[in-house]
Amino acid sequence: MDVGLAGTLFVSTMMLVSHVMPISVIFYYVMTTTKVNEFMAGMSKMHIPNKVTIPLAVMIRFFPTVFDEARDIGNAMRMRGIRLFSLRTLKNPLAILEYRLIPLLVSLTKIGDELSVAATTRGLSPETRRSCVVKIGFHVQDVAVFVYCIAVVVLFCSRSVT
Amino acid sequence: MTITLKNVSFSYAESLDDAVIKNLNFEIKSGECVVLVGESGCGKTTISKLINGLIPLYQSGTMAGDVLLGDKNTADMTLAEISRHVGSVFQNPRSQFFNIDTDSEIAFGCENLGMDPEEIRGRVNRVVKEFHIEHLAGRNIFHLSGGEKQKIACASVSATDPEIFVLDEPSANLDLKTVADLAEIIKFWKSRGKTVVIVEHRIHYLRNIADRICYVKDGQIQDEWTPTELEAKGPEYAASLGLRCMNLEQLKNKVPELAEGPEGSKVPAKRTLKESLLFNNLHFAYNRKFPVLDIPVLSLPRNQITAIIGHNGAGKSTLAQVLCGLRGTWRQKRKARKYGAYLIMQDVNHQLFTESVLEEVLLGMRPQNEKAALEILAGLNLDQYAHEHPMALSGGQKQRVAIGSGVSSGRDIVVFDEPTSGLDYRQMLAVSATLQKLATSGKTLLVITHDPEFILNCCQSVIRMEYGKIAEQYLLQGNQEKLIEAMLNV
Repeated sequence: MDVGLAGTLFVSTMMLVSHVMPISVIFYYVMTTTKVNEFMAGMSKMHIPNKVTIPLAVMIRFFPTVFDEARDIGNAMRMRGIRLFSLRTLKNPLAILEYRLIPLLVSLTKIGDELSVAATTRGLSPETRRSCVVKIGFHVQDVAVFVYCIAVVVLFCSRSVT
Repeated sequence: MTITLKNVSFSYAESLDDAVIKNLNFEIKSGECVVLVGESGCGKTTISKLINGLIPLYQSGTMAGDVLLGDKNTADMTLAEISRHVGSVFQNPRSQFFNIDTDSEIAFGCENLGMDPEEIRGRVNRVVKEFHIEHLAGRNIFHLSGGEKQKIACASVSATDPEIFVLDEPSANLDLKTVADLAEIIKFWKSRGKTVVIVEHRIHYLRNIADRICYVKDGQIQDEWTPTELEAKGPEYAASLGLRCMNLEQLKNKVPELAEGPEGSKVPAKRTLKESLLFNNLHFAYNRKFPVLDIPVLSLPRNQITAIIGHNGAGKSTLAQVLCGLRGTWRQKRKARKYGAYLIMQDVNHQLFTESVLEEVLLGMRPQNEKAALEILAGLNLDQYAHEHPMALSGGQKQRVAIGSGVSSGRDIVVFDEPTSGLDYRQMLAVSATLQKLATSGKTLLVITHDPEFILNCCQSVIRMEYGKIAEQYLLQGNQEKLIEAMLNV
């Protein structure tokens, strides 16, 4: 069936959205609901070394910061009259990327450094074993969810094979 | 626990030739509260890093001499070990918490030490009670104000119960009310026999707490006073050393140092329509019942510097954002673009985008004119840096570049968000001078600040905000006493 250029564009955009959407939703959910210390406790229960856990934990802590900083920078750009969609930016899309990224990278490097200083002075180190206030374990509920997920995947695979 | 520095030298470079700290001998007795003061770059922060072990264990550089905590040398300990004895609080509240919620954050240090979970829970509850922060329990730290974040940082450090506390400019980003709370916390630590070392520019809040005030210059302790001694010498003496005032009450009779300001500063301006800029209906609310900002009429004296004071959450920043068109309805934003206010942010790193200072000024200029841009830079003493990368400049220079970009955008009103936080006396004077020059060149300036010394030096009138409304507006001339009272009792 011929749907024309607009139709093709629409369909491909929808495809993209439907493929990217679940991933971003899960990402958002995980990032906003996981507490850093619960994550670290869980990882250490699974005997994953601190050298792997600490950078991942920093990442969870870092995402909200990235959004905060990006918002401030966006504000500063708006005041200068540089908007994301305007004639000027369409002419020079790379410059806009640069304007956004340079201050973001500079302030994130600074925050990252200060953060690691604060964490090390408070005794976070790969060598010592941490304890955790929150009790984390693998329970019946987890088994149920686990089994359910596997079942869905198996069902989906077998259907797409036939 | 006694802290002893023996013949310590330290350089951030590879040789000790241009050392920041030179042959320093210094002892802090157990239970003492010592304040290190001095101009920026004098080495006082380096001394604090020597005590909390970041030097030599984290920071690269060259070190000679020994730092002893009790009888142990920090060079032989690990940072995790040192963290049992020394708790550190830093300047920037945004970058010193590791968790996203307050409860986990307070428990964080204890968890790192591997304490028993029951014990940790007990400690967290105890600290929350001691610091009166019940209302902050279980909150998302990203939603807290700077002062609240700083309280959580103190609580978190206190939970591990170290013998020594090291604070590096803890008050730099706080308003005077929160600073008073911080003073209470330090007093509490002192009453428990803890040793407290504070590196600070603003010292007035430590007047009744500090045992010694040590003046650091060129990596040496040059002088030492008790707070009473320094207070007796008066604010002029402190200013001559580049220090902030010991007692804000003394500022009541102080004559501004930059008396040769713009014309308007000497003759109080009559508030007529011509001489002030009027704004109508500045409203903003997240929710209809609780307006964050509710100002029917705002009048700003033209070509003058107006200070906005008020405690955190009074709506000062929201006012700035609405004036600059960063917040509000699309109609407010469109209006804002027309009359144009330009915001110089507290963290100017956020508003410098380009590869050279000149380009930075040219970016917002319509039409772009290199000659005019260079003139603006010359006015800000930046002409020799025109082709440098903005990020390679010092903090004060970066701030002036941001001001330059505001001037070049052709907007008539420039709003400053805390331009003097974390600055020593001389840097503060430099900022005052820049602002006065800007006002004489025909801009109308609005400054959000918690810095009374700065207001007395360069502002002509004061707006005090409360609950999103203007509580009062007055000329500074003759009202200095009122200002200090208001700032101390917020």
